[in-house]
Amino acid sequence: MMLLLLPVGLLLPTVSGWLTLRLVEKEHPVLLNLERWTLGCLLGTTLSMYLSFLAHIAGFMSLSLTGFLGIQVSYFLLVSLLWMRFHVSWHVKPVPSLPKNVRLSKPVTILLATLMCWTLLKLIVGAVILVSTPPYQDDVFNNWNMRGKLFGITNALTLEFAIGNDITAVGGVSSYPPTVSMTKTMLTDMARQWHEGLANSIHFVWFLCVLILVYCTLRRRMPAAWALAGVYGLSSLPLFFMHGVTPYADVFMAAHIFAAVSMLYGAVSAQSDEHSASFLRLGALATGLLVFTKNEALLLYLPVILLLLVFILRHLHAHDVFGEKQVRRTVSNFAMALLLVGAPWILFKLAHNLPFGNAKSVSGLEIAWQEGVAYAIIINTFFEGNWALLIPLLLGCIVFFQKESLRSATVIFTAFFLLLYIGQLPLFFFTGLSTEALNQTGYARGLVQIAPIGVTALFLIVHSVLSPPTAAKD
Amino acid sequence: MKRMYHASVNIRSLLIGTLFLGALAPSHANAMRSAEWSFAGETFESGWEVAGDPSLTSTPEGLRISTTVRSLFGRSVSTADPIDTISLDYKADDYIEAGIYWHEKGRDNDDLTKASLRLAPTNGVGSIYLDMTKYERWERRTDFIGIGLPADSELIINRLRVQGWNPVEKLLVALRSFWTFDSIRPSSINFLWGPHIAFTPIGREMMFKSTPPMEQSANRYFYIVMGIAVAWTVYGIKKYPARKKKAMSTLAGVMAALWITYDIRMGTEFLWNAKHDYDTYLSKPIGQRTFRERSFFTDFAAGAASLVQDRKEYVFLAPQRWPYLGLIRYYTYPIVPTEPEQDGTKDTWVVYKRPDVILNPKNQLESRGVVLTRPGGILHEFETGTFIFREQS
Repeated sequence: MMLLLLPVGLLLPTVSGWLTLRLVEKEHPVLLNLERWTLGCLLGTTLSMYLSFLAHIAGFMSLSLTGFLGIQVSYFLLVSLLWMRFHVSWHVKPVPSLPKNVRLSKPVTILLATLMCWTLLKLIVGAVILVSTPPYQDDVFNNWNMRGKLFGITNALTLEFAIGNDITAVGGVSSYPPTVSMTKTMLTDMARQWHEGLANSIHFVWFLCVLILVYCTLRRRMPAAWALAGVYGLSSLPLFFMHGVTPYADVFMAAHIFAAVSMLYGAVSAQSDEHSASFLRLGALATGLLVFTKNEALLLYLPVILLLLVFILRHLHAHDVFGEKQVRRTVSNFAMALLLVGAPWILFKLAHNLPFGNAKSVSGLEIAWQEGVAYAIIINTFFEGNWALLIPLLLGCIVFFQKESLRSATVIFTAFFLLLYIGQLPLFFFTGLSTEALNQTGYARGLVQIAPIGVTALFLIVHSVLSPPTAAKD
Repeated sequence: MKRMYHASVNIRSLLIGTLFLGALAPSHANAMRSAEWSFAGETFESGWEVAGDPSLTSTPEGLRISTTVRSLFGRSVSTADPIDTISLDYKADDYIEAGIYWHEKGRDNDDLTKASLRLAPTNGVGSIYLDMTKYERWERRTDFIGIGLPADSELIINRLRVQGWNPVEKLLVALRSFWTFDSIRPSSINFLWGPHIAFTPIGREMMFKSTPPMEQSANRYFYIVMGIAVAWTVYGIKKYPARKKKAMSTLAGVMAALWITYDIRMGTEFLWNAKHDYDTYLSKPIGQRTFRERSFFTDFAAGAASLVQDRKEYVFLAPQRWPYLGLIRYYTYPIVPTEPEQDGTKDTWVVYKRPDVILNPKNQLESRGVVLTRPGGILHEFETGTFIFREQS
């Protein structure tokens, strides 16, 4: 019964998120309905937590149910009023049409239906395990759930807590943005007690969010059957699935990364400048909130997203899709979003002397060749069960189908994946972070975070190789 | 992981004596490709030879071999039956850097090949399984096998068994090993071993019991099929350019089939683990349930949390810090666990699986003769060595 509080707790953030997205899209909506509700839930929850964080550090609220509700109601009222103010004056254009669905042969239909049932079975069982088994993995009881419980007990964004043992220290986890833990606090505050299943249930929502977002992104480019196959592809990655049904934050992070990058892809593949502009405004919002998810966002993902943004704006400008004014506006949107979210969070970190690395400080890393890393990475990537066949297939497709992967809009996904993947290898090869690869701790988690990007890239490439361009619906 | 190396030695030429206590045949041959020699119950097996200067004594647990110099204990075996694995049941009090010796075809009779074998101390009679196919120079149809012992070592051999399988049997084992699942463990959040292929039943049984698994990753077979499919497609397109689309569709079909096979394997592993969680934890009442390798810690911690809730802190003792210290802190927070030597106001001791910690006649907690607490009483005992104790105020 406690789990019924999950939809109750997510209602206001989701509706507020939906309204926020509509306000950002303005007169040129580009998201599918399902996609808008999904993004509304994902970004709305993160935005609610960010506003709660701001109000809390400004001394306006405690991290109690009343405090959370106060912020959520205020946020909802604000976006509702804005929506009512603008909606009446807008001449809303229709959402771009989707590619036509193709008629599938009976064997393919049966195969797809079987795979969907199989995936559904795994998801249901995974959800049951997630909400009904005790804390097991390290970061659950030392970080995400522990901090959620701590915030709930102290009603504050407590950074230090008595660990009761002077030898084992928790240390670095306080440097993570508190979004995941605060969401757990908010949910369990509604239950008036710490409830393990309820605190964990939000992770399944994030897992579903990223699956749906992948579907919607693929659906804009291909028939529903292909898009469903893409969702199947992502859900069938063993380690990604494991993270989807474990209270860790990497799928949460993956969902936010995908939200930001898929909007950039939407901007490049859109049919009109207004639609591109809409996608880029949404991208700015998602990128801004990305900073408030995990530490990697600021150091690893943000630079690559900004690099791609420069590439996209140059491309749109060169092809006369965007004028100078639109380019400037887009840049200012991104700057504004990053400033609004990033500045308070970075100032907060500096004020409390919190490190910027992934629970490890990035300053003072010595550069030296690290033995054994290459072997560990090859084993983890190619000879374990983590990624099924994704990596060889994706790399093979990029090599064999360069036109489809690197000289089309898909390059947004392939470039992001390759830049991130290849870009982080030197960290393992040349710094003390090599232990993350040698012990197989941090390396694979990085891949979990960009797995949706990789799967989407793979399906876009394969679809464009196998299917001629499909006409849009009338 | 054990490192393997080989060295050719002329130790067989040192043979100084032989034991001929009966016919050359093993006491009981198990099927066509299995031979077993038992030494338990003070029975000597026939056909064994010794080199060096070992002292041999029959005991109820097996044949005790004591050495003062490097020695070899071995025998001739039939070349008709190939050998893939060797199982040794033995008893040892200390580590022994031993070796497995065999004779390679075409070499001089005295020239034996050696692979190192580290025998760990055992509690009673223990076992070691050797998949000999892992050794590069292993001769499946060898005519001699032996165990080499270093000087000043002592070992009781309880039973020795050799087994071999034909190609069809190995293929069946390989197929079964693909569907052999690994359990969820703490490291599963960082990596999953995935399907592995073993060619012997022992290899399959031991597959996920070592880190990393000793057997081959099944991925290499997927890659072989993928490589062949890609090569075939490239060849087909070059030869019949007009059929490019069909060839590409076929290639995509092959890749999809491989992907789905992989997913069924890994998905089934997940469901198999979920069923295990259901059988051992979800379907069982509190007090009877266990969770993976953490046993009943969840229920213990929940019980402890209710008993320490009026305290500020407590002393926590467990077999090791990780993961129990973090877990108990999570369960009992804001009441925190401390170490016995830390200052504080703790009067409650939460003890998990520490049979060395006992209540002495003066009602004090004591470990190996050292008194830990003032007199008090046990608030709740879960099992021997697992309890909550509180000092008298």
